Amino acid sequence: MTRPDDRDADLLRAHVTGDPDAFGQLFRRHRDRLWAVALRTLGDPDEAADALQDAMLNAHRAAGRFRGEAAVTTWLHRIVVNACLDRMRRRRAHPTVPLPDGSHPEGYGGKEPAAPAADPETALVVRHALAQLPPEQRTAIVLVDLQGYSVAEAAAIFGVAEGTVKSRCARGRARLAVLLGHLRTGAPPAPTARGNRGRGGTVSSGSEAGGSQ
Amino acid sequence: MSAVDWDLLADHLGGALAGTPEGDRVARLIATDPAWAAAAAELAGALDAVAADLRAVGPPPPLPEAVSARLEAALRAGVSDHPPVAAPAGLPAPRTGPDRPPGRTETLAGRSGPGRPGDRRRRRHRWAAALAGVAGVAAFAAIGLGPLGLLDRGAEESDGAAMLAEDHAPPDRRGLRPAPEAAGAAPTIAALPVMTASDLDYQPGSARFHHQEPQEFAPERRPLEPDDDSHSAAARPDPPLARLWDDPAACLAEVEASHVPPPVTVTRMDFARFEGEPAVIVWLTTGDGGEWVQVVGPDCGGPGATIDERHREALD
Repeated sequence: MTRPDDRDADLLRAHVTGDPDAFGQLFRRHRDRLWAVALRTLGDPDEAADALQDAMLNAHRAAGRFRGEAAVTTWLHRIVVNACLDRMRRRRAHPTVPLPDGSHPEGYGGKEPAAPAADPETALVVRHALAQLPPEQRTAIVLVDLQGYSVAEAAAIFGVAEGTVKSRCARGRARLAVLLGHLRTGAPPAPTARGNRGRGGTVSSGSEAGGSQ
Repeated sequence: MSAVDWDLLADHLGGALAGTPEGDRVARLIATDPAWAAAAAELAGALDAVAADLRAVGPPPPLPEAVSARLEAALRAGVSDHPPVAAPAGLPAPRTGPDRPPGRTETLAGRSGPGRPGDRRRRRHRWAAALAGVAGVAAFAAIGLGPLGLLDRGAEESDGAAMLAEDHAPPDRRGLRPAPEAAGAAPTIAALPVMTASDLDYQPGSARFHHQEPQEFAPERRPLEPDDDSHSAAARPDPPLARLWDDPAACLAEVEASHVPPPVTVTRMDFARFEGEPAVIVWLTTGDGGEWVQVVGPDCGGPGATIDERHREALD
């Protein structure tokens, strides 16, 4: 029986060698999961659709450079995650001016289409809180806690060490704890610009966890 | 009693410090310092509540049909406008990049170290050709697939040794180096990034990301000029970054692939430090005119298709 990733590799190879339908087939195999990552990371369906389109066109063009060191689906997820991260970072570099009613024209605002959540009200609050996390922490939590990828899988998607993913998740969850009111006043302040655990050695803000943890 | 470092505490509870001296230190603090013990207990309880909240989010909605149709139409259009790059029948297409500001010297970083000048030129062309491979040559067909299978839980982790040997083999065995007689079609110097080894220490939000003064380069680490025989071993970065200095192609491929929309053009690389750690600072532009700086560590482009990214900022 053909393993899932063998089928993906066959389709990617067919695409590179000129099969006009192969990439579309590959996209259809993974579109729901890729869409979920984009939507949950960016929060807005239009932005998520744009990011997913940018990512898939990039993958379409870059297929010939795929080196085969990771699974095809990992590679696709990485391209989508990076497209989302770039959008979030650009948004932070150029914050939108709030509308007169105080709302923002883009970004997380509970615009994610209603899904049959176990607790819709909590889901909305959680999505708002996620939107306030630094991009890397938000994306790590989306992959690990919402989409159910393992730390190892998320590390492969990010292209970083597992310890880095653990740090992103851990600090993101701690910030969510503050935002969601699970830590009393006097605990850590609202999220800062601090990043993730340093690569061994001393702790410094913005540095990444490393090693092979 | 010492002040509680909540980020460090979170890392400890999340397993990010397992097996490290820092982890041992935090464990001792929790065991001996009442403030740390109380904070750890409170944070652990709070994290349980966060986990429950995240479970309440529920499954994501499926991809709307209208969005799916739009994406597939875009991909079909992409087939006609941007056909996938096939295995090279001839030479790799030269990379293109944005116009350079007037007066800015375009240099092609040479290679320091022992060897004849001709050796240096050949090493320069070797990784320059590999960059051209990064730009558009399909090595896919030449590389056997041995996926790590991280997302296929039933698969055994592949050895990958053959792939690694293939990936780090000299370009001539990979078929990426243009034939000598076709040197005129090799990537132009203007399309290759400036490479420097400043050993400066960058920080998040550093003004140096936007502008660097020439005098910031120590004399022994000045921008390298082609055919400059006065290169010294001191100009070469220290060992953690030496691999990338000698052959940045795989790392640049990872950097390129991490941005949209294409084409992505790397304009400058500075082998330096970021928050005190050895790192390569990469300046690049994206297809929509975006300008970015990206910081990668020594493992960028290494085994496992890692990018080892430490930081990224939009400059525009």
